[in-house]
Amino acid sequence: MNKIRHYLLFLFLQLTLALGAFAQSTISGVVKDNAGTPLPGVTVAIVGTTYGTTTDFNGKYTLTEVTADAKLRISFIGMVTQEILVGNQSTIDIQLETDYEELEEVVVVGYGTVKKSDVTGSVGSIKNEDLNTLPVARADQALQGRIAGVEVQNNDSAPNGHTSIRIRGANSVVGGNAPLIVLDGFQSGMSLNQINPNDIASIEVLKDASATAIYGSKGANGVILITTKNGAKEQKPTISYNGFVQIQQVAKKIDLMNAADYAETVNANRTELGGNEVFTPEEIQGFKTNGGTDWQDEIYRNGFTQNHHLGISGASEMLNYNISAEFLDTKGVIEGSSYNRYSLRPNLSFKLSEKLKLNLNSYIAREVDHPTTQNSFTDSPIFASQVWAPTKPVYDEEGNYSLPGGGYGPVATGNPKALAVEPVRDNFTNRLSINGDLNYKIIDGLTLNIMGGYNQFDYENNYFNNSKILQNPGQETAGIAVGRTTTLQNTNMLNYTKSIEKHNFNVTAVLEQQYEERNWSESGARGELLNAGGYNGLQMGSEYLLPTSSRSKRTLLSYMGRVNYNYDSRYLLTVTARSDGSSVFGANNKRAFFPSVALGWNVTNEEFLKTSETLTNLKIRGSWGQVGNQAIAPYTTLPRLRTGASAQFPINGMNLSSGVAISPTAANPDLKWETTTQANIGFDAEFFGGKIQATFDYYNKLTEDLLQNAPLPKTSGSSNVLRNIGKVENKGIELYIGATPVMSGGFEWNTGITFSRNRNEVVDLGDVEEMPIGNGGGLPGFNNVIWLETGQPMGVFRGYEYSGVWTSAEADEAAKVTSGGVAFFPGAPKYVDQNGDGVIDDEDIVNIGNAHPNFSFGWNNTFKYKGFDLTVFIQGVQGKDTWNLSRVRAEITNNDGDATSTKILNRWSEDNQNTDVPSFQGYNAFSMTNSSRWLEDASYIRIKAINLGYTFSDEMVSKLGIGSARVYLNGTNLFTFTNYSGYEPEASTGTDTWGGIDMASYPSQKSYTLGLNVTF
Amino acid sequence: MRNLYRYLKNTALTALSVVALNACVSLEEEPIGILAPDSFYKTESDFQAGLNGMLSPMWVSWGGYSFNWGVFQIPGAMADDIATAPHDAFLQFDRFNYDPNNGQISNLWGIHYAVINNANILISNLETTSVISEEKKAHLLGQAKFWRANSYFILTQWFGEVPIITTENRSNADKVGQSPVADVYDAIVLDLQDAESTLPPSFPERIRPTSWAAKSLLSKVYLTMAGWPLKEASAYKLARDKAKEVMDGSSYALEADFKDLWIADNGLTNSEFIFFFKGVNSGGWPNPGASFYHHASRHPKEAGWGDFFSEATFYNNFPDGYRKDVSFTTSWPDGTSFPADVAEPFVAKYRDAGSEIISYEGTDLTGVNSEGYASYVHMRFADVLLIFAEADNQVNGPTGEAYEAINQVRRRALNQDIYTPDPAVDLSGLSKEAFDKAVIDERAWELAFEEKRWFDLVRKELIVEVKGVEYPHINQNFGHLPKPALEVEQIEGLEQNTY
Repeated sequence: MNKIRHYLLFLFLQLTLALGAFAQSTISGVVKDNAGTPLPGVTVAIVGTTYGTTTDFNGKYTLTEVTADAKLRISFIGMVTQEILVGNQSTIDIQLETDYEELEEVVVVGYGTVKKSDVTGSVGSIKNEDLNTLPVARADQALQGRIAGVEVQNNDSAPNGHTSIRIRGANSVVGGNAPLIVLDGFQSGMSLNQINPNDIASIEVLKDASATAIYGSKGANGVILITTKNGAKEQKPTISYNGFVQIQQVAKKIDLMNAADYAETVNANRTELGGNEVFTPEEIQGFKTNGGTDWQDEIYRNGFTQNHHLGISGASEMLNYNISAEFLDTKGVIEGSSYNRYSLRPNLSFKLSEKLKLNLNSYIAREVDHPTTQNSFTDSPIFASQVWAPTKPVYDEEGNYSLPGGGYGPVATGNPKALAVEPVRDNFTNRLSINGDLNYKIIDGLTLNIMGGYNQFDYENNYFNNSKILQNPGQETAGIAVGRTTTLQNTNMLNYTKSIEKHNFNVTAVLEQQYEERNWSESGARGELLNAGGYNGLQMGSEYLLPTSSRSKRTLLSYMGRVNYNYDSRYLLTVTARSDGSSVFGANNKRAFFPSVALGWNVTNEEFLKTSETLTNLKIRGSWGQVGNQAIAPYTTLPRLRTGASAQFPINGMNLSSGVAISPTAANPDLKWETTTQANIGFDAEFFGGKIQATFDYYNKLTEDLLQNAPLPKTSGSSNVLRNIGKVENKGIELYIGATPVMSGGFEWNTGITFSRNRNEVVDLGDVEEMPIGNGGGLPGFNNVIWLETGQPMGVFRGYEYSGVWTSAEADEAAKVTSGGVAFFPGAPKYVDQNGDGVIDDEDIVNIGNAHPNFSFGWNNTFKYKGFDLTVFIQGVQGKDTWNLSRVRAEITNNDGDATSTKILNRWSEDNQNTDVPSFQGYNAFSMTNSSRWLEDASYIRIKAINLGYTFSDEMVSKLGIGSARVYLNGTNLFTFTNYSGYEPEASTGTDTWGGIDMASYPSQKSYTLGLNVTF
Repeated sequence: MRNLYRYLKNTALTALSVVALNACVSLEEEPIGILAPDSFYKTESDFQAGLNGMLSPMWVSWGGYSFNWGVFQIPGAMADDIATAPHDAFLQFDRFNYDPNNGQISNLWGIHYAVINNANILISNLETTSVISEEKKAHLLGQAKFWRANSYFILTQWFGEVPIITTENRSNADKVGQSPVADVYDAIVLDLQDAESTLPPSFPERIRPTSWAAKSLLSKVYLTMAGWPLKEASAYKLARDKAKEVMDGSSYALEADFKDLWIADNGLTNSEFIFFFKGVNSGGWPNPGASFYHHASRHPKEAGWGDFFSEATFYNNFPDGYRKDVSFTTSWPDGTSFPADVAEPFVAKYRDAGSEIISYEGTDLTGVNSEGYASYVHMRFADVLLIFAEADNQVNGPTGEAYEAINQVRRRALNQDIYTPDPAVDLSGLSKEAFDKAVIDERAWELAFEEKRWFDLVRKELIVEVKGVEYPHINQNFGHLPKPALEVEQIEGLEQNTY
């Protein structure tokens, strides 16, 4: 890029030189840096004219016909610009000083930037170029595996799928664990999936308390700072286009029986349980000849995505700008699912005077999402495709969708094809964000910045279900849910920088206020006439859903101060303090204080290491601080009455009357923040001038006053209350190693590894040692599987330990064990009798796993040779358990349906003793759903992306009249190594405590991409 | 130095002007649209809303009595009329493998305490209010006390010694301990006697309990007090007299056709229901709202979940005839039937009017009420007749009145005229013991699947006799469920039941 720019500039100057033929004297000279090395390519121009030149390879310049009163401006990237009056000199040699402020990489920290060498906290940073390995239009997915300590999980792989981002584990059970996202200083509530990586200049992740404490009550889960692009200094208008087209295919199919096997299995089941066969031999023969329906093939298709991103950026004296527009269109791999987005992001920066700058960043977007229903045992086509009988056709003879039932197969689950295609799900989202600040330089070193942000998020989620799925005219339903979240922020910041000899100070003081208002309403109808207008004609319904609406507000008023001090860039100290007042907390706990302190030592700036060529940079950091989590709903501290659908009663026996009742959630006026105290120690090192870089951190976080939905005795009429009880600890290590092992002969290999390991442990639960926190899944018998227990990770899974099937040889032994008075027998599932009392009951339920990974890693490799670049990105998670609940119903036969999985073919029989699949009779008699049989190791290693690009040479592109061009091919998710038997080891219906339950999430895909990056 | 001073002054002024912006946000919360309990009750409508809210936990979407496996069928599976699908959480009951952590147990407890606490608040607000007329006040108080008594009655039947919670001790619910069964019954009787005297004999709305409902429930309460665990034999006379009051004084009567009881449309008009919940199919969508949801009791062949059904032995012992046909489903649209193809008979009462009544021709099930407006019956006139027969026999031996009471039920069971004696059907000449057994059997058949059988087995100490062969580990103490683990854990003095 630089080369091209210089080349063009050179060409331009040649031209201007040729034109200048009327001046008085010639001056020349050499431009050098402060080490005395000549600088080529330095711009030497006459102030107030367009006349100028650049230095040659020896740093030499010559300007002819220069008047004595002319002023030379000598400028070069990374150097302090100088202006020199020509006077009567004919030779002017210039020594340029290094502009450290510009040259050295700066890191965005909260409420300001610091030089990388001055950073004392643990801050992970990723630049734009590294976000582009994956061809995605959302920054969250681009972040996966890229920064140690930052865990990105794709909970589902739908076109607008959900990710969860966790920084250094999860601290909170109910308070939320999502990091705070700050976009250009604005805590707008924007999530990363809405931000196109092409708009991002850099992402900084604040991990330790020293870095996050300035966000006080919002900082406990870490902070992600996003800086969007703006025009670079003195850049001519540049148009850039980044686009790709992509094809996706479902990464794998679940192994299900064909129609004939299924029919035979259903018959075998009925025979074994003493019923009648369902399928006749003729029918089975027919299936053998003609096959059946592969429901997965029926609902899955090739997905297609295109993303076009067009940007124009530049800068002049007065104005820096970057305006980008984007179009994203995704057609999902499941029929009927799609997502698209149109967005515009104008970023403008005005230099109103030498002292006054105005920045204005805006974002406006429209999203249209047509999601597929997931995580439902009745309405999800994904689940349906796994349990529906392959013997059924998609359509019956009359052309209607075939129906569930008929004495086999699932009972209440709709036809998979119908579930995919028929339901109308139209979710519209509009976003508007305007974020401006005035920056006034009061005196040298002292600036005042007043920022205001307005963010509006409107959604409209519409649905219409016709009656084709179950052929039940009259049961058509339609509804609309609309809502708006308005976020306002005002940040007033004073910043003072001063250096006195070797003492360098930077002091920041902030007053900040935030306001958020949420409102929503919902209405719906049912009835056959809805067919006319769907959700746009609810008045056609014959009955109506109780309309509901609500509005809530929350405010935050904060004072913050920070002192950065360093002595000679060797010894660094950062002290921060923030006081937050929040409306959502109880009268006694409105305000809280969050302090932090950090120390750093730039060892390589010491005399004894200054000259080392091996260890070129070493910084040791240590920090301590406290951060909070205020993520509770407004009005939780106030007593309330329950109203709405759950307080109604049909007192007249004909229709419902409104009522009021005691809220099941009791008020707690003493509620306060969760406080996380974190200590961090780490170092950053560089060897051989940056050829090898390493960053290591160890942290220990203790979250106290944990917000918990503590159960109340139901005897009190309420069932729970939000309380501050208990402690959770997260400790772990993070490691990043980057290296350039090869850089010779035009070949370059860059490699980077991130490694994170977090240990989560419940330290204290108040009065109790353990408490169940729920079921999840909705499967009968899948009860009380998730627990909090001291000494265990948050959300430990409990169940019976499954150890295969009783064999015939073990018949006597089996008969000695009973459950509910019934003795086990060969073919029955074998559950471990933990207490050895010969009875399998709730006393044999033990901890069998959890969803917290032991460690995760990412390994990125980039190879460059001439114009080619190849990126291979590998990423993985180890030691995480997931309940595969969609497998339960595919592998068992009960009143809810018949097994479809090929695994059932391996069920126990007298002739098949060596198996872990019980006989029909065996499972029928002892059907514990909460058993480790359904809990799987969801560890995986995957080659996340292979990216091959080619950048056209300058000669080629200049002939075409364009600035630069690169094309690339990408394969994403091509290879995954895992023992998890579901579609996707990352899949999870919930997160954190509720994570690790997979109920047929949208399957992940392999994708193939062709992309193009061009600038003009 | 002077410059610096000026700059500092400027800075301070700027900072001050910034602080002035401060006034924008307030940290005080002023809820919008969220009702505060302290200031809510201002009009008669407000009190009525309180009454609705008090009742809602029992008849709410997917919960309470409106979802018919939740509160009574599954915990009732210990009885011999009901069995459950092989899901461990259900089988715990069916097989007497009680687990105090079971969610159904906690629901059972929570629903009724929610009613009690709401009733407490309603009652104390009613007692101090002057905004409504004395008559309205009496009616509302009577209803609140009726349902409070009913809730304690249900709780003590399931759990034995339970806490008595009041508006005063509510905030310290973790210290309420438990009350002896006798004290709980005292509270129940007191409330019902109040209700009996303050409630009118009828309301325009059938759902509201009347003075007759209070009397009927009182007779059931006395009958239960006479059995295990209190065994207050003197209560039989009280039970007999209350039942007699209802028989003689009220306008309730047996429906001529047993089938008509189970036709949803008759819910508000039939002559037999004394107090009950009536499902409505409006406003309850997309969840079945305040509707009686039936999928749980229907066979998968009919898009049901088959979560519970009947037991073959119970079916086989059930006397043949009209009532049996209405009570059970034994054949399915695909031509299969019990016992040829399906191991257990299914319950028909909650499918509008029973399988034999609805034609299966063409497998059109649109006439079957699957989720909607059927009723859950707490008390119907047949129950009162049988209470009378049982109690009268205990007091006076098998009198003519007692015979007539049970025989009316028996005649109706065969779809005969209720009031015309028929020696082929009527019982006669039994000993006191034989008569007692006959009444309990009759109750099992007449009130099958209505959450009555289990309580009969418990109070008559029949658990071991009826279920002990199949489950040798049980004893009479299994007549009480374990109290919810979390309640026992949290409430000081609340003792777990032992077996």
